[in-house]
Amino acid sequence: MRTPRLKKLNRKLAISGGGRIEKDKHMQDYELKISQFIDNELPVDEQKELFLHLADNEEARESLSDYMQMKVEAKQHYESIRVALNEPKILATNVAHATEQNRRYMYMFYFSAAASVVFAFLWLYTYFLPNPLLPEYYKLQSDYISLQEEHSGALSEKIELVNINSYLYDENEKLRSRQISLIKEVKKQLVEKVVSTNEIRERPPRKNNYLASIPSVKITEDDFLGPKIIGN
Amino acid sequence: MDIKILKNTAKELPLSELYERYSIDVLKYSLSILNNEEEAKDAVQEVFVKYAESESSFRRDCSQKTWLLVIARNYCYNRIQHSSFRKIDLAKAGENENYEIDYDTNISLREALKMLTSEQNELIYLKEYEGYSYKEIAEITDQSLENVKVKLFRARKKLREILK
Repeated sequence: MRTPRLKKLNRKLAISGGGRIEKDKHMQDYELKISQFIDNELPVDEQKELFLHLADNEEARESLSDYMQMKVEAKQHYESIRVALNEPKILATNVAHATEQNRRYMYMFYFSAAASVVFAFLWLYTYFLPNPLLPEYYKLQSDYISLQEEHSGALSEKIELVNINSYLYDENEKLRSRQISLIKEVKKQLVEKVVSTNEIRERPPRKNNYLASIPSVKITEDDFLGPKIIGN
Repeated sequence: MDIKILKNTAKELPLSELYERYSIDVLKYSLSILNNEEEAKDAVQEVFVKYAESESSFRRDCSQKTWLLVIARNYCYNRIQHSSFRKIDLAKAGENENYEIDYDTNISLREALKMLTSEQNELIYLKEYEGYSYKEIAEITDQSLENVKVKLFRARKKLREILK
C-alpha cells in the first residue's frame, strides 16, 4: 500500500519531472517504431498507429527524417570506403596450404572408400564362391556326428556301470554291517558263557619250573568287551 | 555457431571467385568491428584462409557470403579479446559511453561511427550496407531478434545524438 507521503511524491513527480520521464519513454517507444519502420520491419497494424503519431508530432517527424538521412549517409559511407587490399600472395600461399590439406583429406577419404568397396567385394566373392573343400567338410561333419553318437552310447553304458557299481557298493556295505553285528552277537554269547561259569579254573601245576613261575591271570568280563576288539 | 538463415540454393563459387566478389565486403565488415584498417586487411586474409580450412565443415545451410561474415565476426571479436590494440571490453561493448560529444563542431558520419562501439558499428553495417533483415542479422550475430531490434535502435539514437 502506498503511504500518503509516497502518493504526494508521485503527484509532484507527475507534475514536474515524472511527466517528462513518461513523455520520454513514450517518445522512445515511437522512435523504436520509427527505426523499425525505416528498416521495413514494422508490422502493418503498427504502421497505422505510427502514421497517426507522425501526423500529430513534429518531433517524431524530425526523428524519422534524421533516421532516414542517417540510413542513406551510412550506406554511402560504407560504399565510399576504398581500401586497397593486400596482395593476395600470402593468402594464396595460406589458402594453397589449406586446400592442399583439404585435398589430402579428400584423397584419404576416397582411398578408404575404395578400400572398403574392395573388401566388401572380396567378402561377397568368398561368401558366394563354391568351396572345393566343402565335400570334405561334409564328410568330416558326418564322421563327427557318428562319433558323437558312439560317444553318447558309451556314455550311457558308463552311466549304467556307475549305477551297478553304486548298487554293489551299497550291498557290500549292508553285508559288512551284518557281519559286524554277527561278530558282536557271537562275542556277546561267548562272554555270557564265560561269565556263567563264574570262575576260571586254575591251571594245573606245571612241571616246567619256568612256566610254573608265571603268575596266573584272572580273566574278567571286561577283557571280552566286544567294541574294543571290533574297533581294532 | 548455428546458422539457419536461408537455404542455399545458389551455385557454390570457387575460392578465387569468392575472394574477388566478397573480399571487399569482408574487409568493410571487419573494419566496422575492428575500426582499424590494417587489422581489417589482416582479417580478410585470415577469414579466407579459415574458410578454405573449414570448407569441408561448411553445412551449406546458408550462403557462402554469410558463412564468410560469420567467420569474419568470430575472428574480429577474438582479435579484440586477445589483443590490446583497442581498449574495448566486449562485456561492456553495449554500454560504452567513453566518447565525449562536442556539440559545437560539425562531425561527419565517419567520425560519428568511430564513436560507436564495435557491436553498434557492426549492426549498422549489416543493416545499412548489407541490407540484411533483422532475422538474418540475429543469426549472424547469434542474438535474439528482439535484441537486434533494440540494439540497432540504440545505435541509431546514439549516432543521431553525436551528429546533432
